Amino acid sequence: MRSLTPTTWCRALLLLALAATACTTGEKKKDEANLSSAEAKALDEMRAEVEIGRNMAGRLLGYYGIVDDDKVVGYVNQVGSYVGSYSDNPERKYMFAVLKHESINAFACPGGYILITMGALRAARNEAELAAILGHEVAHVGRKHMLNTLRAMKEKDLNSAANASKDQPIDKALKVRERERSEETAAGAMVARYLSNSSGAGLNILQAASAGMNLITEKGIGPDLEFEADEYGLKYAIRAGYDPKAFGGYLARLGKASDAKKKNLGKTHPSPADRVARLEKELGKMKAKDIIGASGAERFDKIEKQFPKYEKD
Amino acid sequence: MKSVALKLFGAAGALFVAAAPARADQFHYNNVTIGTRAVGMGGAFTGVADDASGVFYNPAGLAFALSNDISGSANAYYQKSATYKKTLCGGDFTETSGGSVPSFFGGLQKLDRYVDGLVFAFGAYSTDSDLKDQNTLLKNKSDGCGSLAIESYHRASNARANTYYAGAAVGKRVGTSVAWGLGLSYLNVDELVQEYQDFKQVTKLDKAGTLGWKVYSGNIRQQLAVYGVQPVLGVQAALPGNIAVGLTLKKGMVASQSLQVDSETQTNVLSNDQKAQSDATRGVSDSLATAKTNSRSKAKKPIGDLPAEIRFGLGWFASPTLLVTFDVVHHTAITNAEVIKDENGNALFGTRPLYAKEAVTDLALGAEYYVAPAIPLRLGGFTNKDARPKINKADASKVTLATVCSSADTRSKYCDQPDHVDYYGETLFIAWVQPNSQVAAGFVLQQGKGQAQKVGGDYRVQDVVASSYTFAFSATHNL
Repeated sequence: MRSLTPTTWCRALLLLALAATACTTGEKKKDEANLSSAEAKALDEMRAEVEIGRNMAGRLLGYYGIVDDDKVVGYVNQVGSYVGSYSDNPERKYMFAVLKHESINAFACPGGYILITMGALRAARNEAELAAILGHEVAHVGRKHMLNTLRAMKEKDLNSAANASKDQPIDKALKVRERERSEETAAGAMVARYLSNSSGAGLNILQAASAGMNLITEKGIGPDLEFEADEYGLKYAIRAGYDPKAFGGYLARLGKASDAKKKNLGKTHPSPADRVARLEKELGKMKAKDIIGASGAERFDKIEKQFPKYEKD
Repeated sequence: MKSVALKLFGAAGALFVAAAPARADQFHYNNVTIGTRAVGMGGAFTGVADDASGVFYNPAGLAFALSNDISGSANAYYQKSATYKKTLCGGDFTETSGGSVPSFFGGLQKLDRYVDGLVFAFGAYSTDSDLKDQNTLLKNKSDGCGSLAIESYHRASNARANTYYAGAAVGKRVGTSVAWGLGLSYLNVDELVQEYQDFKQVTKLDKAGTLGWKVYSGNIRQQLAVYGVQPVLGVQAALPGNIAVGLTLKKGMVASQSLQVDSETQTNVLSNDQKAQSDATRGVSDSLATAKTNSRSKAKKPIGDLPAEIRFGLGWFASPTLLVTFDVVHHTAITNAEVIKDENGNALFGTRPLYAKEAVTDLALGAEYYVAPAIPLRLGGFTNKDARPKINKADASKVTLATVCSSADTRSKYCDQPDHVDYYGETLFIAWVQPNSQVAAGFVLQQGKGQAQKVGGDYRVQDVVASSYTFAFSATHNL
């Protein structure tokens, strides 16, 4: 019998890999075919949500830059995923990243992309505070605050928000050079739908992502949803065993931080004082004021020593 | 466009002249259009130049870049042809060449983090490229070849020619409306041409008119190598009315240049019997007369200097969907190129310096229009003028045509003159723009008309009709 050469083996393995991929894809399609119409709709919506969130997260990462310190980012993911596992949607996967910026802010993009600035991380004093912040963002994602807001917007409002997101702080000499953008096009949306394997759940994905950027950085999604995210974030952190008073403490200090540090946050969130007052009430309702939770101060102190320093934002 | 042919043999059969060596086309300055957007706009980009191609068009434009990017362009395929009318035995002679070239690769990085308004870019690009492999075979031609028939004529022509630049530039804004830029590029011109010709032709052996045969073969190999650097300085300003203007100055400096030409020829005059024997044995063992030449020429300053380039451009950002651009580009004359001579000091290809250039001014007009938010259509028109002088036609009322090419006084003026072909080009590209990237594809067409003296040692002038088409594509990714 003729022996097989390495090249032949390689070819055979490649063929097997291709066949396996084809089978997997085939099985996936077959599985999807067995879904009920409600399940198929939910899957389609989930894909659109992920695609919008991925687009928004990409823009935020591109704008702010990313912290690439594995230990710091790993720690944030550990804490965030832990809190997420105690949320009302424990089956969701969350991806946490740290933005290279010293202002205090955090962003929850649809689909589970959660970004926290280095400034917000530095402002925390222990792990319980970080857990509460991340819990707040997890609540935004789990309760689909951004997605539902976008879906509730009328076409002209979506357009207006998407167009407003174009306005970068640049001077006229550069402004005139900006060309027509592609986000709003039907063709661009079609490609996005194809790439995301989603119908868009009634949304033009690129347009929605543009409008989402305007909401997340400028207009906000409204105080009610922010208070709701505070409420649920607090609940998730307490469920995870963290100190119930940590969130209020963090927000109270935030109220005293310089305007420059919380400039963008102030545009999109209620005042820290109002938020602290609401949290106090919530703790009372939950009868959680006397719960003694973990602060995680020791772990946080260790990682805090490794926080990177940047000369300029 | 290129003119890489040796002079053809004389139609009258008396002459075969390697009078003008093959050369790559340094005589037109718009052979390859550079850049992702610029190529679609006919190369009219000096007033804009806000992507990596600013390294070529205007480094000051880099300072107005909206984003960091990396981009690459390729002429996926190009085909060129030039037809010399009524040249070979009264018939047309066409030269063709084709190939592909990675015309531009570059990147741009904003450095605001370190210095406000500072932008860096690098680029590697090709301004001329050609690849030729052409065989011409004529058999048993008697019509239009004068009184003496040709049994066979064969020409094999191979050429490789490239002009490459690689460099970097910075642009810096001064205030909000003005920017300056400077850059430096390494340049390399590499040309290698090899041609072989042979023919068998009836000839008169004596005054009585006894007919015999002239059997000729000739080889020539020519290699030009030029290395140098090209500094570039640019300014750009934003004016009221959404207009930007740009000015670029370039002056190449030659670090080294060389041209080597090796040639050998053999001519045998054969009787009819000797010709029959030669045909049978595929060689010449006996002849009435044999002449051989063998020469090697080395020129140390074949091209002299490089021309200075002055570009002036306008960009009108009429709206977010329409941009109109206009460029005027002037190249200065080169008058210190060397006359190519053989070892004995004899001018090898005429007394005119082979690479002498006249000053030329080219124009370009371009537009970019978004037919849909993601789909810009780019179109342009441009000139591609010849830097060689116009052909002098011998006038029978002033010179004796029969001797005009054998007289030293008149030969350099009326014979073996280089081609002169002016081109006009059009571009049409369509692009697909996504938030962080774009791809573009389209065509560059050029049509040329001019005159040439394709036949060596002949005063007659041929009309030339030339054309080229290029399919190009490019991609840019914003970082």
